[in-house]
Amino acid sequence: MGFQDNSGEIFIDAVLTDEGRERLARNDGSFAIVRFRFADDEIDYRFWNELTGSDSKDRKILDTPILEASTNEIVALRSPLITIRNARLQFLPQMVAKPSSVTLREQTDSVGGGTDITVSQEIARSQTILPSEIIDVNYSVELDNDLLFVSGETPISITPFGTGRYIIPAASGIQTAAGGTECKFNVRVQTLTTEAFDVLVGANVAQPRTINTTIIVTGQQSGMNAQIPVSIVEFTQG
Amino acid sequence: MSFKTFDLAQDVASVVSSINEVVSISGSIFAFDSNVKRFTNISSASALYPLGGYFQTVYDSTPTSPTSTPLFDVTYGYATGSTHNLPYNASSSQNEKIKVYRMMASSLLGDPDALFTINNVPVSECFFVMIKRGIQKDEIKKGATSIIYFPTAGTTVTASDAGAVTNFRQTVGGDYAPLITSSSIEVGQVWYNAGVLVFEAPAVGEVSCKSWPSDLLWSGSMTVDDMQGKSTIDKIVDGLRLHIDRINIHNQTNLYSTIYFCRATNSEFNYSSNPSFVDSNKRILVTSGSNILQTRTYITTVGLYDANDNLLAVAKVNKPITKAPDSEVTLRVRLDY
Repeated sequence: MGFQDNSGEIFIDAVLTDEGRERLARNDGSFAIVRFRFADDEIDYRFWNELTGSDSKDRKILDTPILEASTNEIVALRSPLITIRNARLQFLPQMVAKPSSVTLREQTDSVGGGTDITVSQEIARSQTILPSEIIDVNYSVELDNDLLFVSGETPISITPFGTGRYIIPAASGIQTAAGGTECKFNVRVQTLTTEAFDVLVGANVAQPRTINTTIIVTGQQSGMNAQIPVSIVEFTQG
Repeated sequence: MSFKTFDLAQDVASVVSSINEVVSISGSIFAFDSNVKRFTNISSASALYPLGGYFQTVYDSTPTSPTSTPLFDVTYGYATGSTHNLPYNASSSQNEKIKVYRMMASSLLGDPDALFTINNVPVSECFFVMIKRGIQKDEIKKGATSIIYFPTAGTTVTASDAGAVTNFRQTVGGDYAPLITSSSIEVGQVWYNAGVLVFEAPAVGEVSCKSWPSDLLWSGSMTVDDMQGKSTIDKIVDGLRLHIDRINIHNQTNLYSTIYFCRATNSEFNYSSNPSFVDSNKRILVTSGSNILQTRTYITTVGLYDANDNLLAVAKVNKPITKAPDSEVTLRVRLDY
Protein backbone atom coordinates (compact mmCIF):
# COMPACT_ATOMS: atom_id res chain seq x y z
CA MET A 1 0.00 0.00 0.00
CA GLY A 2 1.30 3.41 -0.92
CA PHE A 3 0.08 6.97 -1.37
CA GLN A 4 -1.84 7.98 -4.45
CA ASP A 5 -0.37 10.37 -6.99
CA ASN A 6 -2.22 13.62 -6.36
CA SER A 7 -0.29 15.75 -8.85
CA GLY A 8 -2.89 15.68 -11.63
CA GLU A 9 -6.60 15.30 -12.21
CA ILE A 10 -8.88 13.62 -9.70
CA PHE A 11 -9.18 9.89 -10.22
CA ILE A 12 -10.54 6.95 -8.24
CA ASP A 13 -8.67 3.78 -7.33
CA ALA A 14 -11.13 0.91 -6.69
CA VAL A 15 -10.49 -2.64 -5.50
CA LEU A 16 -12.54 -5.57 -4.28
CA THR A 17 -12.03 -6.35 -0.62
CA ASP A 18 -11.01 -9.84 0.50
CA GLU A 19 -14.62 -10.38 1.54
CA GLY A 20 -15.80 -9.22 -1.90
CA ARG A 21 -13.43 -11.54 -3.73
CA GLU A 22 -14.41 -14.47 -1.53
CA ARG A 23 -18.11 -13.86 -2.22
CA LEU A 24 -17.45 -13.46 -5.93
CA ALA A 25 -15.55 -16.77 -5.95
CA ARG A 26 -18.41 -18.51 -4.14
CA ASN A 27 -20.55 -17.96 -7.23
CA ASP A 28 -23.68 -18.25 -5.14
CA GLY A 29 -25.13 -14.81 -5.76
CA SER A 30 -23.83 -13.42 -2.47
CA PHE A 31 -21.83 -10.73 -4.28
CA ALA A 32 -24.47 -8.05 -4.70
CA ILE A 33 -23.60 -4.40 -4.20
CA VAL A 34 -26.69 -2.45 -3.19
CA ARG A 35 -25.53 0.52 -1.12
CA PHE A 36 -22.58 2.75 -0.49
CA ARG A 37 -21.17 5.19 1.94
CA PHE A 38 -18.48 7.84 1.92
CA ALA A 39 -15.69 8.17 4.44
CA ASP A 40 -12.86 10.53 5.34
CA ASP A 41 -10.39 8.16 7.00
CA GLU A 42 -7.22 10.16 6.27
CA ILE A 43 -8.61 13.53 7.24
CA ASP A 44 -7.51 15.17 10.48
CA TYR A 45 -9.93 18.02 11.10
CA ARG A 46 -7.57 19.54 13.65
CA PHE A 47 -5.73 20.96 10.65
CA TRP A 48 -8.69 23.29 10.18
CA ASN A 49 -7.14 26.74 10.61
CA GLU A 50 -9.61 29.26 11.93
CA LEU A 51 -6.99 32.01 12.15
CA THR A 52 -6.65 32.66 8.44
CA GLY A 53 -8.68 33.84 5.46
CA SER A 54 -11.88 32.08 4.52
CA ASP A 55 -10.36 30.48 1.44
CA SER A 56 -7.41 29.09 3.34
CA LYS A 57 -8.99 27.58 6.41
CA ASP A 58 -8.98 24.07 4.98
CA ARG A 59 -5.85 24.31 2.84
CA LYS A 60 -3.90 21.85 5.01
CA ILE A 61 -6.82 19.45 5.02
CA LEU A 62 -7.02 19.52 1.24
CA ASP A 63 -3.27 18.82 1.05
CA THR A 64 -3.71 15.53 2.91
CA PRO A 65 -2.15 12.60 1.03
CA ILE A 66 -4.53 9.71 0.40
CA LEU A 67 -3.57 6.06 0.77
CA GLU A 68 -4.24 3.49 -1.89
CA ALA A 69 -7.32 1.37 -1.31
CA SER A 70 -6.92 -1.50 1.16
CA THR A 71 -8.42 -4.92 0.49
CA ASN A 72 -8.82 -5.59 4.22
CA GLU A 73 -12.46 -4.72 4.84
CA ILE A 74 -11.89 -4.22 8.54
CA VAL A 75 -9.53 -1.27 8.08
CA ALA A 76 -10.52 -0.10 4.60
CA LEU A 77 -13.24 2.24 5.80
CA ARG A 78 -13.27 3.41 9.41
CA SER A 79 -14.88 6.85 9.51
CA PRO A 80 -18.08 6.99 7.47
CA LEU A 81 -19.69 10.31 6.68
CA ILE A 82 -23.14 10.90 8.11
CA THR A 83 -26.28 12.41 6.67
CA ILE A 84 -28.16 14.74 9.00
CA ARG A 85 -30.64 17.08 7.35
CA ASN A 86 -29.97 19.91 9.79
CA ALA A 87 -26.90 21.61 8.33
CA ARG A 88 -26.36 23.90 11.31
CA LEU A 89 -25.53 21.44 14.10
CA GLN A 90 -22.77 22.68 16.37
CA PHE A 91 -22.39 19.45 18.34
CA LEU A 92 -22.46 15.77 17.42
CA PRO A 93 -23.72 12.87 19.50
CA GLN A 94 -21.32 10.22 20.71
CA MET A 95 -21.20 6.52 21.45
CA VAL A 96 -20.54 5.87 25.10
CA ALA A 97 -19.39 2.45 26.27
CA LYS A 98 -19.95 1.28 29.84
CA PRO A 99 -17.62 0.09 31.14
CA SER A 100 -15.16 2.04 29.02
CA SER A 101 -12.58 -0.72 29.37
CA VAL A 102 -12.78 -4.38 30.30
CA THR A 103 -10.57 -6.89 32.07
CA LEU A 104 -11.38 -10.56 31.50
CA ARG A 105 -9.82 -13.64 33.03
CA GLU A 106 -8.88 -16.66 30.98
CA GLN A 107 -11.03 -19.75 31.74
CA THR A 108 -13.02 -17.95 34.46
CA ASP A 109 -14.65 -15.72 31.88
CA SER A 110 -14.95 -18.36 29.17
CA VAL A 111 -17.74 -20.76 30.04
CA GLY A 112 -19.53 -18.43 32.41
CA GLY A 113 -19.03 -14.94 33.69
CA GLY A 114 -17.78 -12.55 31.09
CA THR A 115 -18.58 -8.87 31.21
CA ASP A 116 -21.78 -7.12 30.17
CA ILE A 117 -21.07 -4.11 27.96
CA THR A 118 -23.56 -1.39 27.16
CA VAL A 119 -22.98 1.04 24.30
CA SER A 120 -25.43 3.91 24.07
CA GLN A 121 -26.04 6.97 21.95
CA GLU A 122 -25.47 10.05 24.07
CA ILE A 123 -25.05 13.75 23.48
CA ALA A 124 -22.69 16.25 24.99
CA ARG A 125 -25.29 18.84 25.92
CA SER A 126 -28.45 17.66 27.63
CA GLN A 127 -30.72 20.15 25.85
CA THR A 128 -29.83 18.69 22.44
CA ILE A 129 -31.95 15.94 20.97
CA LEU A 130 -30.43 13.26 18.76
CA PRO A 131 -31.28 13.81 15.06
CA SER A 132 -33.70 11.13 13.95
CA GLU A 133 -31.56 10.08 10.95
CA ILE A 134 -28.85 8.66 13.19
CA ILE A 135 -30.85 6.73 15.74
CA ASP A 136 -29.33 3.27 15.50
CA VAL A 137 -31.47 0.19 15.05
CA ASN A 138 -28.59 -2.28 14.88
CA TYR A 139 -25.03 -2.28 16.14
CA SER A 140 -22.01 -3.99 14.61
CA VAL A 141 -19.58 -5.52 17.11
CA GLU A 142 -16.12 -6.39 15.81
CA LEU A 143 -13.60 -8.29 17.90
CA ASP A 144 -10.65 -10.66 17.60
CA ASN A 145 -12.42 -14.00 17.09
CA ASP A 146 -9.35 -15.94 18.20
CA LEU A 147 -9.52 -14.28 21.62
CA LEU A 148 -13.10 -13.22 22.33
CA PHE A 149 -16.70 -14.01 21.55
CA VAL A 150 -20.12 -12.57 22.27
CA SER A 151 -22.07 -14.93 24.46
CA GLY A 152 -25.28 -16.26 22.93
CA GLU A 153 -24.64 -14.74 19.51
CA THR A 154 -23.19 -16.08 16.26
CA PRO A 155 -20.81 -13.97 14.18
CA ILE A 156 -22.21 -13.09 10.75
CA SER A 157 -18.70 -13.18 9.31
CA ILE A 158 -15.14 -13.98 10.28
CA THR A 159 -12.45 -12.40 8.13
CA PRO A 160 -9.30 -14.23 7.00
CA PHE A 161 -7.45 -12.16 9.63
CA GLY A 162 -9.72 -13.52 12.35
CA THR A 163 -11.98 -10.55 13.03
CA GLY A 164 -15.43 -11.73 14.05
CA ARG A 165 -18.38 -9.47 13.30
CA TYR A 166 -21.69 -9.64 15.13
CA ILE A 167 -24.90 -7.73 14.53
CA ILE A 168 -26.59 -6.84 17.81
CA PRO A 169 -30.05 -5.23 17.66
CA ALA A 170 -30.72 -2.20 19.82
CA ALA A 171 -32.22 -3.11 23.18
CA SER A 172 -35.97 -2.94 22.81
CA GLY A 173 -37.93 -0.43 24.87
CA ILE A 174 -34.87 1.48 25.99
CA GLN A 175 -34.33 5.10 25.04
CA THR A 176 -31.37 7.14 26.16
CA ALA A 177 -31.75 10.64 27.54
CA ALA A 178 -30.89 11.98 24.11
CA GLY A 179 -33.59 9.90 22.45
CA GLY A 180 -31.12 7.36 21.09
CA THR A 181 -30.76 3.62 21.54
CA GLU A 182 -28.31 1.31 23.19
CA CYS A 183 -27.06 -2.22 22.74
CA LYS A 184 -26.02 -4.73 25.35
CA PHE A 185 -23.91 -7.81 25.00
CA ASN A 186 -21.83 -10.14 27.10
CA VAL A 187 -18.23 -10.65 25.99
CA ARG A 188 -16.23 -13.69 27.00
CA VAL A 189 -12.81 -15.23 26.38
CA GLN A 190 -12.24 -18.01 23.87
CA THR A 191 -10.47 -21.16 25.01
CA LEU A 192 -6.83 -20.08 24.85
CA THR A 193 -3.61 -22.03 25.03
CA THR A 194 -0.32 -21.24 26.69
CA GLU A 195 1.08 -20.88 23.19
CA ALA A 196 -1.32 -17.99 22.52
CA PHE A 197 0.18 -16.03 25.41
CA ASP A 198 3.69 -17.10 24.33
CA VAL A 199 3.14 -15.68 20.86
CA LEU A 200 1.14 -12.56 21.69
CA VAL A 201 2.88 -11.54 24.93
CA GLY A 202 6.16 -13.47 25.12
CA ALA A 203 7.24 -16.79 26.54
CA ASN A 204 9.65 -15.14 28.97
CA VAL A 205 7.20 -12.68 30.47
CA ALA A 206 6.28 -13.40 34.10
CA GLN A 207 2.87 -14.98 34.68
CA PRO A 208 0.07 -14.10 34.80
CA ARG A 209 0.48 -12.50 31.38
CA THR A 210 -2.01 -10.10 29.78
CA ILE A 211 -3.19 -9.93 26.17
CA ASN A 212 -4.54 -6.55 25.10
CA THR A 213 -7.12 -6.22 22.34
CA THR A 214 -9.98 -3.92 21.33
CA ILE A 215 -13.69 -4.28 20.68
CA ILE A 216 -15.20 -1.85 18.18
CA VAL A 217 -18.93 -1.18 18.37
CA THR A 218 -20.43 0.76 15.44
CA GLY A 219 -23.97 2.01 15.04
CA GLN A 220 -25.15 0.75 11.66
CA GLN A 221 -27.30 3.78 10.96
CA SER A 222 -25.12 6.51 12.46
CA GLY A 223 -21.74 5.07 11.53
CA MET A 224 -20.44 6.31 14.89
CA ASN A 225 -18.34 3.96 16.94
CA ALA A 226 -16.91 3.30 20.35
CA GLN A 227 -13.66 1.47 20.98
CA ILE A 228 -13.39 -0.61 24.13
CA PRO A 229 -9.94 -1.76 25.30
CA VAL A 230 -9.95 -5.31 26.62
CA SER A 231 -7.29 -7.00 28.77
CA ILE A 232 -7.24 -10.80 29.02
CA VAL A 233 -5.38 -12.06 32.07
CA GLU A 234 -3.79 -15.50 31.91
CA PHE A 235 -5.12 -18.23 34.17
CA THR A 236 -2.57 -19.54 36.67
CA GLN A 237 -2.87 -22.42 39.12
CA GLY A 238 -3.09 -21.46 42.78
CA MET B 1 -27.59 7.65 8.48
CA SER B 2 -24.32 6.73 6.84
CA PHE B 3 -25.52 4.41 4.03
CA LYS B 4 -27.23 5.34 0.81
CA THR B 5 -28.94 2.70 -1.31
CA PHE B 6 -28.30 2.61 -5.05
CA ASP B 7 -31.15 3.12 -7.44
CA LEU B 8 -30.11 0.20 -9.65
CA ALA B 9 -31.85 1.68 -12.70
CA GLN B 10 -30.14 5.05 -12.42
CA ASP B 11 -26.92 4.51 -10.52
CA VAL B 12 -25.45 1.27 -11.89
CA ALA B 13 -24.26 0.66 -15.47
CA SER B 14 -22.44 -2.23 -17.15
CA VAL B 15 -19.95 -1.56 -19.93
CA VAL B 16 -17.30 -3.44 -21.93
CA SER B 17 -14.05 -1.84 -22.93
CA SER B 18 -10.73 -3.02 -24.31
CA ILE B 19 -7.11 -2.34 -23.53
CA ASN B 20 -4.44 -3.07 -26.14
CA GLU B 21 -0.69 -3.44 -25.84
CA VAL B 22 1.81 -3.54 -28.68
CA VAL B 23 3.92 -6.71 -28.66
CA SER B 24 6.83 -6.94 -31.06
CA ILE B 25 8.96 -10.06 -30.80
CA SER B 26 12.24 -9.88 -32.65
CA GLY B 27 14.16 -12.79 -34.14
CA SER B 28 17.06 -11.75 -31.95
CA ILE B 29 14.98 -13.15 -29.09
CA PHE B 30 13.79 -16.43 -30.55
CA ALA B 31 16.45 -17.39 -33.10
CA PHE B 32 18.90 -18.48 -30.43
CA ASP B 33 18.58 -21.74 -28.57
CA SER B 34 19.51 -20.10 -25.26
CA ASN B 35 16.01 -18.61 -24.93
CA VAL B 36 14.22 -21.83 -25.81
CA LYS B 37 12.89 -24.50 -23.48
CA ARG B 38 12.61 -28.01 -24.88
CA PHE B 39 10.55 -30.84 -23.45
CA THR B 40 10.92 -34.57 -23.11
CA ASN B 41 8.89 -36.70 -25.47
CA ILE B 42 6.47 -38.30 -23.08
CA SER B 43 5.16 -41.03 -25.36
CA SER B 44 8.60 -42.45 -26.04
CA ALA B 45 9.99 -41.53 -22.62
CA SER B 46 13.14 -40.46 -24.40
CA ALA B 47 15.60 -37.90 -23.20
CA LEU B 48 15.39 -34.42 -24.64
CA TYR B 49 17.19 -35.71 -27.70
CA PRO B 50 17.11 -37.44 -30.09
CA LEU B 51 13.32 -37.81 -30.26
CA GLY B 52 12.52 -34.36 -28.89
CA GLY B 53 9.23 -33.12 -27.55
CA TYR B 54 5.95 -31.97 -29.02
CA PHE B 55 6.81 -28.27 -28.90
CA GLN B 56 9.29 -25.65 -27.80
CA THR B 57 8.62 -22.64 -25.62
CA VAL B 58 10.36 -19.37 -26.44
CA TYR B 59 11.22 -17.07 -23.54
CA ASP B 60 12.43 -13.50 -23.53
CA SER B 61 15.61 -14.65 -21.80
CA THR B 62 17.06 -17.84 -20.39
CA PRO B 63 14.13 -20.07 -19.35
CA THR B 64 15.76 -20.89 -16.03
CA SER B 65 16.00 -17.23 -15.08
CA PRO B 66 13.41 -16.20 -12.47
CA THR B 67 12.79 -12.98 -14.41
CA SER B 68 12.17 -14.60 -17.79
CA THR B 69 8.72 -14.66 -19.36
CA PRO B 70 7.37 -17.29 -21.78
CA LEU B 71 6.35 -15.62 -25.06
CA PHE B 72 5.03 -18.34 -27.33
CA ASP B 73 5.09 -22.06 -28.09
CA VAL B 74 6.05 -23.27 -31.52
CA THR B 75 5.34 -26.65 -33.06
CA TYR B 76 4.74 -28.51 -36.29
CA GLY B 77 2.25 -31.15 -37.41
CA TYR B 78 0.86 -32.92 -40.41
CA ALA B 79 -2.40 -34.65 -41.23
CA THR B 80 -2.54 -38.38 -41.84
CA GLY B 81 -2.93 -37.67 -45.57
CA SER B 82 0.29 -35.68 -45.75
CA THR B 83 2.87 -36.79 -48.27
CA HIS B 84 5.42 -36.49 -45.46
CA ASN B 85 3.63 -39.09 -43.35
CA LEU B 86 6.07 -41.95 -43.93
CA PRO B 87 8.10 -44.07 -41.45
CA TYR B 88 11.52 -42.77 -42.47
CA ASN B 89 13.39 -43.59 -39.27
CA ALA B 90 13.04 -44.06 -35.52
CA SER B 91 13.17 -40.34 -34.81
CA SER B 92 10.78 -39.08 -37.47
CA SER B 93 8.05 -38.74 -34.79
CA GLN B 94 5.14 -39.57 -37.10
CA ASN B 95 2.63 -40.09 -34.31
CA GLU B 96 3.60 -36.86 -32.57
CA LYS B 97 3.28 -34.79 -35.74
CA ILE B 98 -0.13 -36.25 -36.51
CA LYS B 99 -1.22 -35.75 -32.92
CA VAL B 100 -0.24 -32.06 -33.05
CA TYR B 101 -2.08 -31.44 -36.31
CA ARG B 102 -5.22 -33.21 -35.10
CA MET B 103 -5.11 -31.35 -31.81
CA MET B 104 -4.91 -27.98 -33.55
CA ALA B 105 -7.55 -28.94 -36.11
CA SER B 106 -9.87 -30.04 -33.32
CA SER B 107 -9.30 -26.89 -31.31
CA LEU B 108 -9.50 -24.38 -34.18
CA LEU B 109 -11.59 -26.09 -36.87
CA GLY B 110 -13.76 -28.15 -34.54
CA ASP B 111 -12.83 -31.46 -36.22
CA PRO B 112 -9.55 -33.36 -35.72
CA ASP B 113 -9.85 -34.77 -39.23
CA ALA B 114 -10.39 -31.37 -40.89
CA LEU B 115 -7.64 -29.58 -42.81
CA PHE B 116 -6.61 -25.96 -42.64
CA THR B 117 -7.39 -24.10 -45.86
CA ILE B 118 -4.80 -21.58 -46.97
CA ASN B 119 -5.01 -19.85 -50.36
CA ASN B 120 -8.23 -21.81 -50.90
CA VAL B 121 -6.26 -25.07 -50.81
CA PRO B 122 -6.43 -27.70 -48.03
CA VAL B 123 -3.04 -27.82 -46.36
CA SER B 124 -1.85 -31.00 -44.69
CA GLU B 125 1.35 -29.62 -43.13
CA CYS B 126 1.46 -26.59 -40.86
CA PHE B 127 3.66 -24.70 -38.45
CA PHE B 128 1.90 -23.36 -35.37
CA VAL B 129 3.03 -20.38 -33.31
CA MET B 130 0.91 -20.25 -30.15
CA ILE B 131 1.08 -17.01 -28.21
CA LYS B 132 1.14 -17.54 -24.44
CA ARG B 133 -1.91 -16.38 -22.51
CA GLY B 134 0.15 -13.90 -20.51
CA ILE B 135 1.23 -12.17 -23.74
CA GLN B 136 -1.97 -12.59 -25.74
CA LYS B 137 -4.25 -11.62 -22.81
CA ASP B 138 -7.90 -12.19 -23.82
CA GLU B 139 -7.32 -12.17 -27.57
CA ILE B 140 -5.19 -10.76 -30.37
CA LYS B 141 -6.45 -7.48 -31.75
CA LYS B 142 -7.71 -7.74 -35.31
CA GLY B 143 -5.86 -5.86 -38.04
CA ALA B 144 -2.62 -5.43 -36.12
CA THR B 145 -0.76 -8.70 -36.72
CA SER B 146 2.20 -9.00 -39.04
CA ILE B 147 5.06 -11.39 -39.52
CA ILE B 148 8.33 -10.75 -41.31
CA TYR B 149 9.89 -13.96 -42.53
CA PHE B 150 12.68 -15.25 -44.79
CA PRO B 151 11.15 -17.12 -47.78
CA THR B 152 14.65 -17.52 -49.16
CA ALA B 153 18.06 -16.79 -47.76
CA GLY B 154 18.71 -13.05 -47.48
CA THR B 155 15.23 -11.82 -48.45
CA THR B 156 12.33 -10.85 -46.21
CA VAL B 157 8.62 -10.72 -46.84
CA THR B 158 5.95 -9.18 -44.64
CA ALA B 159 2.57 -10.85 -44.27
CA SER B 160 -0.18 -9.13 -42.33
CA ASP B 161 -3.87 -9.33 -41.50
CA ALA B 162 -4.58 -5.87 -42.89
CA GLY B 163 -8.31 -5.32 -43.26
CA ALA B 164 -9.19 -8.06 -40.78
CA VAL B 165 -11.15 -5.65 -38.59
CA THR B 166 -14.01 -5.96 -41.06
CA ASN B 167 -13.04 -9.00 -43.11
CA PHE B 168 -12.36 -11.57 -40.43
CA ARG B 169 -14.01 -14.98 -40.56
CA GLN B 170 -15.66 -17.01 -37.85
CA THR B 171 -15.75 -20.71 -37.05
CA VAL B 172 -15.99 -22.90 -33.96
CA GLY B 173 -12.41 -22.03 -33.02
CA GLY B 174 -13.23 -18.32 -32.94
CA ASP B 175 -12.40 -15.44 -35.25
CA TYR B 176 -9.57 -15.73 -37.75
CA ALA B 177 -8.18 -13.97 -40.80
CA PRO B 178 -5.57 -14.74 -43.45
CA LEU B 179 -2.01 -13.46 -43.26
CA ILE B 180 -1.41 -11.93 -46.69
CA THR B 181 1.76 -10.60 -48.28
CA SER B 182 1.98 -7.37 -50.26
CA SER B 183 1.61 -9.56 -53.37
CA SER B 184 -1.79 -10.67 -52.06
CA ILE B 185 -0.55 -14.19 -51.36
CA GLU B 186 -1.96 -15.95 -48.30
CA VAL B 187 0.78 -17.70 -46.32
CA GLY B 188 -1.04 -18.42 -43.10
CA GLN B 189 -3.76 -17.45 -40.68
CA VAL B 190 -4.10 -15.66 -37.37
CA TRP B 191 -6.66 -17.03 -34.92
CA TYR B 192 -7.54 -14.13 -32.66
CA ASN B 193 -9.35 -15.73 -29.75
CA ALA B 194 -7.06 -18.74 -29.61
CA GLY B 195 -3.90 -16.67 -30.04
CA VAL B 196 -2.48 -18.98 -32.70
CA LEU B 197 -0.60 -18.19 -35.91
CA VAL B 198 -0.81 -20.98 -38.50
CA PHE B 199 1.67 -21.13 -41.40
CA GLU B 200 1.62 -23.34 -44.43
CA ALA B 201 4.51 -25.79 -44.72
CA PRO B 202 5.42 -27.30 -48.12
CA ALA B 203 4.25 -30.76 -49.11
CA VAL B 204 6.82 -33.17 -50.54
CA GLY B 205 8.51 -31.51 -53.49
CA GLU B 206 6.27 -28.44 -53.34
CA VAL B 207 8.75 -25.82 -54.54
CA SER B 208 5.81 -23.52 -55.32
CA CYS B 209 4.72 -23.33 -51.68
CA LYS B 210 3.85 -19.70 -50.95
CA SER B 211 5.47 -19.52 -47.52
CA TRP B 212 8.66 -21.54 -47.72
CA PRO B 213 9.55 -23.60 -50.84
CA SER B 214 10.34 -27.26 -50.29
CA ASP B 215 13.93 -26.94 -51.47
CA LEU B 216 14.80 -24.19 -49.00
CA LEU B 217 17.73 -25.07 -46.74
CA TRP B 218 16.04 -25.25 -43.36
CA SER B 219 18.58 -26.29 -40.77
CA GLY B 220 22.15 -27.33 -41.45
CA SER B 221 22.35 -29.09 -44.80
CA MET B 222 18.76 -30.35 -44.79
CA THR B 223 15.90 -28.77 -46.71
CA VAL B 224 12.52 -28.08 -45.20
CA ASP B 225 11.24 -30.90 -47.38
CA ASP B 226 13.62 -33.46 -45.87
CA MET B 227 13.18 -32.32 -42.33
CA GLN B 228 9.39 -32.49 -42.20
CA GLY B 229 9.46 -36.22 -42.84
CA LYS B 230 12.72 -37.29 -41.26
CA SER B 231 13.38 -34.99 -38.29
CA THR B 232 11.88 -34.52 -34.88
CA ILE B 233 9.45 -31.68 -34.19
CA ASP B 234 12.22 -30.05 -32.17
CA LYS B 235 14.58 -29.92 -35.10
CA ILE B 236 11.90 -28.76 -37.53
CA VAL B 237 10.91 -25.80 -35.35
CA ASP B 238 14.58 -25.02 -34.77
CA GLY B 239 14.59 -24.24 -38.49
CA LEU B 240 11.34 -22.29 -38.31
CA ARG B 241 12.78 -19.97 -35.66
CA LEU B 242 15.67 -19.20 -38.02
CA HIS B 243 13.28 -18.29 -40.85
CA ILE B 244 11.17 -15.73 -39.00
CA ASP B 245 12.56 -12.23 -38.51
CA ARG B 246 9.81 -10.65 -36.40
CA ILE B 247 6.29 -11.21 -35.09
CA ASN B 248 4.11 -8.18 -34.32
CA ILE B 249 0.77 -8.38 -32.55
CA HIS B 250 -1.41 -6.16 -30.42
CA ASN B 251 -2.86 -8.06 -27.52
CA GLN B 252 -6.24 -7.23 -26.08
CA THR B 253 -7.69 -7.34 -22.59
CA ASN B 254 -11.48 -7.18 -22.55
CA LEU B 255 -12.72 -5.42 -19.44
CA TYR B 256 -16.23 -6.11 -18.29
CA SER B 257 -16.99 -3.29 -15.92
CA THR B 258 -19.75 -2.21 -13.64
CA ILE B 259 -19.91 1.50 -12.94
CA TYR B 260 -21.49 2.70 -9.72
CA PHE B 261 -22.51 6.34 -9.61
CA CYS B 262 -22.23 7.33 -5.97
CA ARG B 263 -24.23 10.53 -5.64
CA ALA B 264 -24.35 12.82 -2.64
CA THR B 265 -26.96 15.54 -2.81
CA ASN B 266 -26.47 18.85 -1.05
CA SER B 267 -28.03 17.65 2.20
CA GLU B 268 -26.20 14.32 2.43
CA PHE B 269 -22.88 13.26 4.00
CA ASN B 270 -22.10 16.62 5.56
CA TYR B 271 -21.11 15.24 8.98
CA SER B 272 -18.46 12.73 9.92
CA SER B 273 -17.85 10.00 12.46
CA ASN B 274 -14.13 10.78 12.21
CA PRO B 275 -12.86 11.19 15.80
CA SER B 276 -11.12 14.43 14.86
CA PHE B 277 -14.34 15.93 13.47
CA VAL B 278 -15.25 17.11 16.99
CA ASP B 279 -13.29 18.37 19.96
CA SER B 280 -13.36 16.81 23.42
CA ASN B 281 -16.75 18.44 24.07
CA LYS B 282 -18.15 16.95 20.82
CA ARG B 283 -18.25 20.42 19.28
CA ILE B 284 -17.77 20.30 15.50
CA LEU B 285 -14.35 21.75 14.70
CA VAL B 286 -15.02 23.24 11.28
CA THR B 287 -17.79 25.45 12.63
CA SER B 288 -16.47 25.98 16.12
CA GLY B 289 -16.06 29.73 16.66
CA SER B 290 -15.98 30.17 12.93
CA ASN B 291 -17.64 32.55 10.53
CA ILE B 292 -18.34 29.42 8.47
CA LEU B 293 -21.57 28.31 10.06
CA GLN B 294 -22.29 25.33 7.89
CA THR B 295 -20.74 21.94 8.42
CA ARG B 296 -18.47 20.37 5.82
CA THR B 297 -16.60 17.14 5.26
CA TYR B 298 -13.83 15.86 2.98
CA ILE B 299 -14.43 12.66 1.05
CA THR B 300 -11.44 10.32 0.62
CA THR B 301 -13.09 6.91 0.49
CA VAL B 302 -16.12 5.19 -1.02
CA GLY B 303 -17.31 1.85 0.32
CA LEU B 304 -19.61 -0.44 -1.65
CA TYR B 305 -21.72 -2.77 0.50
CA ASP B 306 -24.16 -5.63 0.22
CA ALA B 307 -27.54 -5.71 1.94
CA ASN B 308 -25.94 -7.07 5.12
CA ASP B 309 -23.45 -4.19 5.28
CA ASN B 310 -20.49 -6.33 4.26
CA LEU B 311 -17.87 -4.14 2.60
CA LEU B 312 -17.33 -5.75 -0.83
CA ALA B 313 -15.31 -3.07 -2.60
CA VAL B 314 -13.56 0.10 -1.64
CA ALA B 315 -12.46 3.08 -3.70
CA LYS B 316 -10.17 5.97 -2.89
CA VAL B 317 -9.94 9.37 -4.51
CA ASN B 318 -6.45 10.80 -4.92
CA LYS B 319 -7.37 14.16 -3.36
CA PRO B 320 -9.87 15.03 -0.62
CA ILE B 321 -13.15 16.26 -2.11
CA THR B 322 -15.04 18.91 -0.19
CA LYS B 323 -18.64 18.11 0.64
CA ALA B 324 -20.87 20.80 2.15
CA PRO B 325 -24.56 21.71 2.20
CA ASP B 326 -23.98 24.03 -0.77
CA SER B 327 -22.44 21.35 -2.99
CA GLU B 328 -23.23 18.01 -4.56
CA VAL B 329 -20.80 15.24 -5.45
CA THR B 330 -21.03 12.31 -7.85
CA LEU B 331 -18.18 9.80 -7.79
CA ARG B 332 -18.00 7.24 -10.56
CA VAL B 333 -16.58 3.96 -9.20
CA ARG B 334 -15.69 1.36 -11.80
CA LEU B 335 -15.12 -2.29 -10.95
CA ASP B 336 -13.48 -4.36 -13.68
CA TYR B 337 -13.96 -8.09 -14.05
